[in-house]
Amino acid sequence: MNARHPDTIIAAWLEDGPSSLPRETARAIQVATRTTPQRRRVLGLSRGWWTPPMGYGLALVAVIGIVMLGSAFYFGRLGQPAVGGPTPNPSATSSAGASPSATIGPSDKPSASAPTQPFTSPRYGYSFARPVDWQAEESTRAWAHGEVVVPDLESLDRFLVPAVAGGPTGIVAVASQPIAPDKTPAAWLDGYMTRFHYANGGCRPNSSTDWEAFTVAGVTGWTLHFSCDQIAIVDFIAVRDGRGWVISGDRPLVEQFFSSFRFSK
Amino acid sequence: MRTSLVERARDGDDVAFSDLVDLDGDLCYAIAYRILRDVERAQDAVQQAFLLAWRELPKLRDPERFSPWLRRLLVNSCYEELRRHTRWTSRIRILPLDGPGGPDPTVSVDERDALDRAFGRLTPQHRAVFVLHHHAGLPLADIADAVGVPVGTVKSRLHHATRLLRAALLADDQIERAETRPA
Repeated sequence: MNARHPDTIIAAWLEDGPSSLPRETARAIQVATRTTPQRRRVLGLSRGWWTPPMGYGLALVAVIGIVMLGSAFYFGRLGQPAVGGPTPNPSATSSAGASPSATIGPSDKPSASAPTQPFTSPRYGYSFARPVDWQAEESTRAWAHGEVVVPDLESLDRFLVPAVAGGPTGIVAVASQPIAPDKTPAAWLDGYMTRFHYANGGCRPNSSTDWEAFTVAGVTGWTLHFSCDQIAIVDFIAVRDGRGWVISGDRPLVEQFFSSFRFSK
Repeated sequence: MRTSLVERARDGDDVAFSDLVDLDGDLCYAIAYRILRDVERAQDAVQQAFLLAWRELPKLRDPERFSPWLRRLLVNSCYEELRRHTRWTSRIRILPLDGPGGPDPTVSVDERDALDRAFGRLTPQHRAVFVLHHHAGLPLADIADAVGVPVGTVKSRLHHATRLLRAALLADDQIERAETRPA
């Protein structure tokens, strides 16, 4: 077989292309693994939920927050003037994602009446009234720019909420990163939306067009609702003062989180 | 070693599973890219396959079967990627990589285009068989296991895919000769 034989050309064509899994993908898998429960035949909590879901969790956390906040606002449960309703988006036509699916677990009973204490994140610069039964696991490092898809567990502030009636542990996760100098806020948002599915593992929304404009604490961002293992999730992303924000988690918990959330710097 | 890692991962050890990702990730990605011919979708398929493997690993009774089982998950993930409505992923598209040395000079631009077009006309099932055989070097029986069809079907698909790609090259060659022929 000489160098110009068709099979030689086909073989060379087939060999062209990448052969090493990108580090960001390997890391996304590792993050998602740490936060995704395994399916076991035994009854009881999956271990993945004891370590807050971050793979789909982070994205999930952000999405959930927005939706819950919105519904809570409209139903007058929160009545926070800092939180507004969605703004019509000319490019994103909301559809299925706006209709939350059944939610079972901690989101059914957010501990709205539980006593709270102020929580302030010196790393990311936000505060909220943390219910005392929300276990805080603060980030141990900053979410650097360039890590577009999803912050890892180390760069995420996580709030774990005890399970209700045998449901999984709930979670709210928060992180923000500086936007790279060569990137516009719109590009950051677009990049996150486009790559969003990395953060979700097997729990993907149908389409990026399900993102809806939403305002939290005076900052208009985007929210996406979806469900994962029958748990309603919300992802919220926004850009403020040169930083890209991601807030994600179980919808009712994120709604509750948003009810007192403030940017503190 | 791999069996031990699979057993530990099956028991919920995510560090052991990360080691498995390190061991198998490159080959999975190379296969996925060649089936999908798209960097991002290949990354998606690999991630999807590994996550599914992690979730379902407790149900894998024989740790020795991990590799063929993972290949089947990967192939199915590639099928799903090809089926998926790609409207939103097409907004930003990373150009396919040509590798550290650039495109192989053995393949001309026209030949590459012809092969890309021909490969695009293959069904996902034909693509998977072709890549698993000619790139991953798997025996036909292992390919049959991975794609869930009899060996005879694998042979048939392999033959069809190979014939189509060869025909694409020949057609491209004939067009080139016709274009360079003096009037």
